[in-house]
Amino acid sequence: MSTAFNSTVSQSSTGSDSFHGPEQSQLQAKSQWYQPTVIDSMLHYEKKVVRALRSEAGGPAWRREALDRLDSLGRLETGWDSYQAPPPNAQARFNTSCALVDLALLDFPPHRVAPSVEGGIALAWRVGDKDANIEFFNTGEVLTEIPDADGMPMIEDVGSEDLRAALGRIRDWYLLNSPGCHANKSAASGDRQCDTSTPHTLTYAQMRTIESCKHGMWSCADGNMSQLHVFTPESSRTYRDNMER
Amino acid sequence: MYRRERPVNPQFDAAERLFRRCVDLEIREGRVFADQIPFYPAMSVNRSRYSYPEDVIYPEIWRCGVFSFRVDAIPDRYAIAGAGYEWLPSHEPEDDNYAHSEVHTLKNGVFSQTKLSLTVKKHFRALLAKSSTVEIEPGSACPDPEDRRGFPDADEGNA
Repeated sequence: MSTAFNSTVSQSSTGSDSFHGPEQSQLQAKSQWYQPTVIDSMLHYEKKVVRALRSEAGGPAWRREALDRLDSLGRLETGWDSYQAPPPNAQARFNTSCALVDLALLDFPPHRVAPSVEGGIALAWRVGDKDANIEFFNTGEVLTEIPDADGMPMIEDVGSEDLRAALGRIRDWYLLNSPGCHANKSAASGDRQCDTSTPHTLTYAQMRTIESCKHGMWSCADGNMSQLHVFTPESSRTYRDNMER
Repeated sequence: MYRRERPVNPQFDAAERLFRRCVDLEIREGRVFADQIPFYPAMSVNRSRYSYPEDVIYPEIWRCGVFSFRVDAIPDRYAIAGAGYEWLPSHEPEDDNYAHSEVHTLKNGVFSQTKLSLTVKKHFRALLAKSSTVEIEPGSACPDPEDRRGFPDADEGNA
């Protein structure tokens, strides 16, 4: 079983956008000894984390709203779905709050924060007729669902070190499928083009997709490149090499 | 809805729909989110051959909504970690609910109530959500039982 607990505490407490409240040092200290199986301690710890996140100056409004939503989900009772669904427990809420920190770093707000009928909390994104989500289960397990190119859901068990990477993969999927980018609509034609009115930062995942295209035309604005580029497999490799440098 | 000694009908048409309750799903565009699709080794549903969508929220769960999926949209086969999973509908009538059915999970060809991995469950839930549609939005159902219609195929199979 994987848990997002330890790694996300570590990532969050060292990230540039995390835990800048007055309790930061306490949180960091606690993260070194905390054991996720101690539910009472977790509940206490979760409240401190949420309080710290909410008090953080400059945090995005959507994250505060999401934290409020987490609070309300904690008041659900068993059977809230009219069957036997358990309410999200402290561990699920805590892991979700950690993910919200990472999502703020990615500037990637979830479209939806909801209780899962399987026991836990889901963050979901929707583009057109496709959905992606990440579920934080009461057991501590974390699973993502990201549609592949054919729209079939790909399930991934997120290991303890992979939460931020997993969220990044969802964001990559979202960017590739967002209305401003038409790459997904013409994969077969090789005529891939981003709407220049919606600048994109190309990720490595996107670059790999481009590379699979025989000839692709992209425009992107990511600080390093802001002009129109025509990519062939060779030039996309060059671009990626430049990015890595 | 009463069974009235009618027999089990194991035949499901591919286009037949299966109904299940749902709560406020924050439904968008008439579609269901996967986090609202549960997994049970034997998931309770009502079959459309013998019932209407509102029957799953009758008589006292009107605050809920109803979603449905076609029989041929039930996930096919899934193999992981050396085990094969498949799902089949089964008519399981109850005395006061002839339409009651279940979607059974078969592991290596055998119906199993044992605990399954979250990956298998999530695979099933994701595929089902993909093909589910909202029949009744939560809270929008008519609370007046007098408005209820007769049941489809109400007399079919009467003993």
